[in-house]
Amino acid sequence: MKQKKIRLAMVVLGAIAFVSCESPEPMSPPPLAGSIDFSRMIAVGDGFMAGYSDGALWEGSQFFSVPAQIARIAGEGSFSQPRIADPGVGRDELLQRFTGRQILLRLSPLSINVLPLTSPPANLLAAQPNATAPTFANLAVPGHTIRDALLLRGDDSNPNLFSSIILRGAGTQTRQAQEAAPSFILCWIGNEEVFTAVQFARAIDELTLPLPIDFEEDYRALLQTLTASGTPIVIANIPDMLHIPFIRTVPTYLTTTLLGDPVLPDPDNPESRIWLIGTWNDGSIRVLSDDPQSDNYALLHLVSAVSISRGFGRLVQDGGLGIPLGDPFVLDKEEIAIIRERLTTLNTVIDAVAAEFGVPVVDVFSLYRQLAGPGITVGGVRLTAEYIYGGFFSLDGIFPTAAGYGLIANAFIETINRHYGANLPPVNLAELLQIKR
Amino acid sequence: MTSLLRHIFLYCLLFFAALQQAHAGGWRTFEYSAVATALAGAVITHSSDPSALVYNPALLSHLAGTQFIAGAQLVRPEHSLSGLAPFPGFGTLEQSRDLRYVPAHLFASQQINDRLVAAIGFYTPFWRRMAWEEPRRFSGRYLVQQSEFSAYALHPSAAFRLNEKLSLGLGLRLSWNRFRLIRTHPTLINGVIFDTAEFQLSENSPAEVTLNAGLHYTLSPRLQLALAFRPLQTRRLEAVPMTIRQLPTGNSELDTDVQRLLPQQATATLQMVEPLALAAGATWRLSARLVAHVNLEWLRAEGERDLVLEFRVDSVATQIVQGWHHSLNLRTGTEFRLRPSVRLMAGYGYLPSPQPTTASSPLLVDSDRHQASLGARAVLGRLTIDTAMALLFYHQRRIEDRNGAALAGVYEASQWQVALSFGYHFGKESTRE
Repeated sequence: MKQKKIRLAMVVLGAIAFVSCESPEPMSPPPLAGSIDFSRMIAVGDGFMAGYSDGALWEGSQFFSVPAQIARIAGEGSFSQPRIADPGVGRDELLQRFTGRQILLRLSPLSINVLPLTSPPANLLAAQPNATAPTFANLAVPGHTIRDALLLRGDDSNPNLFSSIILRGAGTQTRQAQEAAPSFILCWIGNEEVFTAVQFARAIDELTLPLPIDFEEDYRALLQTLTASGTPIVIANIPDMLHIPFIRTVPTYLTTTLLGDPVLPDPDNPESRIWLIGTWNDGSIRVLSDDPQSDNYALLHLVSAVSISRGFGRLVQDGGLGIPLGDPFVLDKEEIAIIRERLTTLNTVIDAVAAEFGVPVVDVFSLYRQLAGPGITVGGVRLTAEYIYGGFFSLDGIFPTAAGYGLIANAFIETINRHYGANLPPVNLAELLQIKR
Repeated sequence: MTSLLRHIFLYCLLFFAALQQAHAGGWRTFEYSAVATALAGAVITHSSDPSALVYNPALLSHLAGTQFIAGAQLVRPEHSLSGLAPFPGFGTLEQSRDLRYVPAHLFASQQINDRLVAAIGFYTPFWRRMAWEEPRRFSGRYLVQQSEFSAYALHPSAAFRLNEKLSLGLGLRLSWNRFRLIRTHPTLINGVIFDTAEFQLSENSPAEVTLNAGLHYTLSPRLQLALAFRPLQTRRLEAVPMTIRQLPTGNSELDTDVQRLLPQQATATLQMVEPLALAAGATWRLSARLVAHVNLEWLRAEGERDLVLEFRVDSVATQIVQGWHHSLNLRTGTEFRLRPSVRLMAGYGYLPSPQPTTASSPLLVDSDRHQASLGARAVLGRLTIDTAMALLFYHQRRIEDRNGAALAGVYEASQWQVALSFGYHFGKESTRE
């Protein structure tokens, strides 16, 4: 009797052990889309949403635009974009002309070539104004501000070539988005408003930076239009434009890194550095500093490397021309402070307006800060904000690479999943990091 | 007696109910003899040979005369990973390379007098290697391409019989650890990964000392109880330099550029915590032929930094930090005396993984596992021959890592092991009752 009890107890104990085992993973995951219908997804935005990369909009980069990647993940292969054949179309703001994309020729010394735009790309013609052509699903126009998205139709006198390629005179971004009766909208815009100040190294209200009150009015109008029919929408805030390689690569002292010519015996030793001279926003000429505490702290444009290599920004006794770097290349301490403050304010506005409309916000700003700080590690590969070697930013130092867009797409997917109960898997970054160009 | 048994079972049930959320098990090699393998490690109260010093040194007090046991195991684990996004992505299938290893063991005991028995053992407290087929293409090579952690221990112990029922034992384990790691260094150039260098670490740590203690109580001729304890032990290698070897990319111009970009210095810091172990066991003599063993082993992890691997490449550090759960292992075994000289053994163990799903990585793959074992002992005069085999079934583990510290995917594993031990004793009886 006693032995039976013991055996029974052992059986019970064993059964409990089995019950306490972790049950196997469910084999049938919940539906990918949750409450979202991705079949008529529309994207509204600027160059970031369009897939601009390596200084141009071209089909190689458009393929990896954030909405295109999300559409593929959601199984919507028909997401249409105004594809522009290689070498694409880019805008050289310095020379005020259109060019092709940039290509990396050599690492040491760093050599980047801009492909010429000798004739219109083959499928650019197909994308010419045509009122009967169906609306592209990706309506994002590089260079568009929120106001542009609300007002420009692509057949006006605005010199933005992308407007006519993408909008084709068929209506503004918001109008075309409305008329397409979308099932879901991705919207990432407002970046141009801040980037203009960074790009021209000028922080002037209403010229290079919008007033918060105007920005709020525009953003509210945008969301009112896009959410009028109750279409679910996800928006993104403005990335940290002050931590992009475009203004974080060229140091304020002479270095061999970008120029290739052996000028300094020890470029890492501050004592032996030759500090550059530049023009301040008040017209004064100053010896630049890389110390954020210094009054002469400045950030230099990526393109200033060419001028520096030609002797600009150096005193004659340092082997230069004795001509300071021009103001458009020098983002000075005061301008940095104004842009930083405005960037924070505009993102607060985005959050507030989004909350008003119950719209989820993808925090791209934080993603950029993380890149600029510890970086983002993927499968042991660390992506940072470093130029060329960081993996996130393309050759223009502003827009992301394919993998960079993949990271942003994953941030969108995370927000969509969280807010709309979807179950979209993340984008495969391993694949994007293997794409050779 | 019935009342006592009822209390013990009730206690066990409550223990399970309270701790069923806790995880246990892990990566240790737990079986150091064929008998231990055959009984799935349920040997806290089992005193048939000097290997008992590892599990519960108090058991040594039951060994008579001079005894030796020596042998080896063949352990063959297998792992696979079916990748998920974001890294390494769908369609990626990684298979482990042949991970066989053969830990050997040698134990000896000497009865000093009626109360005191001394013993010494040499064995492998842990040995774990992870290597993957096509290591140069393995998708986790930027985390860890290959790893091996192994240890050898010399373990003097002594047991003292306080009275006919109660024995105490104490052991001092000196262990030497060996760590080997290989990692591929990626260089990102304009958004594309190039494998540009291989970092290698091969280091032996100085001897480390740990205590273990045990208690054995003979409640009745049918029932024996035991407790065993071993404190938490931290193994640490601080900033060990790694050798850096440039890998050719196939483009000589790029190789020259990359040479300039390669780190000047790479170091690895490694910390491994062997959890505190508190085990309780009981052995019932169910009949003249049948004996049953049940062990519960509670492992108390450090919790936050049980496994830390930090690569410092120049001034940039990358860390893999794993905090593990406390855990509870169940081990059961039965012995059936077929003939006076032949004993059959079987065991079952449920060993939940202490490793949370967020911590799984190619560095060390672990999951909840079930162990089923079979074995036999043949006694040929003074010679005993033990054989055993065990199969370990791991639960499938799905890792959805979005933070980059692991490879996302479904990990699967299994393991089989066979063991053979030879024992010899000088003296009239091998055990004292």
